[in-house]
Amino acid sequence: MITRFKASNFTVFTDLDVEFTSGINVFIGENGTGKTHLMKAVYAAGCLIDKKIDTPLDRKINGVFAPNSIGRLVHRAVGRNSGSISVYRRMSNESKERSITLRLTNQNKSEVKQNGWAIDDNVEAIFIPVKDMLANAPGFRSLFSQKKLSYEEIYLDIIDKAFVPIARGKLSPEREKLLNILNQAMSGRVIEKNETFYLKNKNGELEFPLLAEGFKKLGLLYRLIQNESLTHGSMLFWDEPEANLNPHLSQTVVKILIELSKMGVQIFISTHDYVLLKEFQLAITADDDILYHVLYRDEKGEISHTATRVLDELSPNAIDNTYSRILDDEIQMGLAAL
Amino acid sequence: MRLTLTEEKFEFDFPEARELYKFDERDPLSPNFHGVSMQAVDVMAEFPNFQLWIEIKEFQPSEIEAMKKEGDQQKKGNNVHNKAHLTRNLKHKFRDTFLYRYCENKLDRKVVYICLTNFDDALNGYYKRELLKQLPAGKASVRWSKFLLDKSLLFVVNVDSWHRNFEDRFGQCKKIL
Repeated sequence: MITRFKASNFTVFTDLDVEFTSGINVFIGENGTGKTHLMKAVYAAGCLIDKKIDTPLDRKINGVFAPNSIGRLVHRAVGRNSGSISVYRRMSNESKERSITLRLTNQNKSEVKQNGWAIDDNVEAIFIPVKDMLANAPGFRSLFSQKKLSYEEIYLDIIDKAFVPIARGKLSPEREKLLNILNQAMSGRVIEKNETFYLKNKNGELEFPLLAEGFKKLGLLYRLIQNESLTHGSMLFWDEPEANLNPHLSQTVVKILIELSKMGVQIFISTHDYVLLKEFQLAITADDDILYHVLYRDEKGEISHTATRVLDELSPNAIDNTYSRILDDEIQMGLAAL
Repeated sequence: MRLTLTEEKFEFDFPEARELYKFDERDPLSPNFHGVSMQAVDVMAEFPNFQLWIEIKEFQPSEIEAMKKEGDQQKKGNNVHNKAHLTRNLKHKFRDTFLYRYCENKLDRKVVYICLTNFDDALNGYYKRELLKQLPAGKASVRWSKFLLDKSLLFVVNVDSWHRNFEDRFGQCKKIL
């Protein structure tokens, strides 16, 4: 599991130290507080655990963030010309942490140090971005490989993961349970033919571009469960699962995430959504492992972090504060009538 | 004026209220003994230009669990959502209080109905919309020329939102631990 992320003068962070839980990590915070940056940095490191992936961290970070040059990722402030990130992880049978560190300068110099980070094992890291990509999958990979698209690498990565063929043989009962939940929500199952994804149900096959955006998201999740990209030991990073999703489907998403976590998938999500958080609060039991993180700007304007296992204790909570402000405005309008 | 509700564990301090009393008073020796088999709001505060009706409804986890179960069963049948259960009690308390005040001949000033819950602000906003429909507040029928309650004078708040919005206007509301 990923245990910790430290950043010094990296993108929006001046000095950040975040510890994770092995279950579900939920990030909230206003726009511009670095939720996606944190998840992308940890994801980039997570992609390189498998020794077979022969990409250095600086190159992966560059692909995932897609800056004009890698030195642009150094936090811009007077007197600062270098930055670093470190990601830590621990294997279930070890007490000592392994780590990977990237140091950068604003002159585009980079240095990577590993402390037993890569191993000879198939460890999957999956990043689901806010924008749907499955509908655009046909031809995307070849265009990307010719460098004709200036997309962040996470988009190519997620399409690659979706195209991983389905394993032969019977599905495990837990995997079948998850697919049944999605089946019910989407009224169908996902199939792939000639680089095109379809939702198949009793009415026939409907190609992904014709699906509602929310179903495209669930369809992607279906595919990742079906082809075992999401399995014990994997990491799932999901940026704003609520985007394009009708709130009534949030319950399904939360159910799936909790089940995946029980299967041993470590989960990182960012959200701006009250409904999603509330669904977690209602669905979580004492046996589930969840940690709510908040990123916020402190009085010096620097990004700070705090975490709690109890949602109601999360502070500052930009989502709740917005609802409070709306309620206050409504009350004040009413009081004006007195 | 100060009123302490031992059972509900709340204390109200309204400096400008002419009267402040427990409306559903069960003690026959009290001058404010309710004495009628009707539902009633918890607190009545009489201000010079309006009257404040306060109902305290702190939902316990066991009640919420029971309502969730009931809601699931009902959804399968007659499509009644559990939100109806949440507001039913508050609706009847308001309506019975309205009738009681009519008989007291005390509906002479604007009514402000405040439901004090332990929900967060987002849920209270939703809860208020549902209660507005169920009371019903405002002009619910074309045949009506009067309201049960002005729509803008129904408030569903928790202690924090009370502090933010009502402390200067009405006075303090404190939870007694």
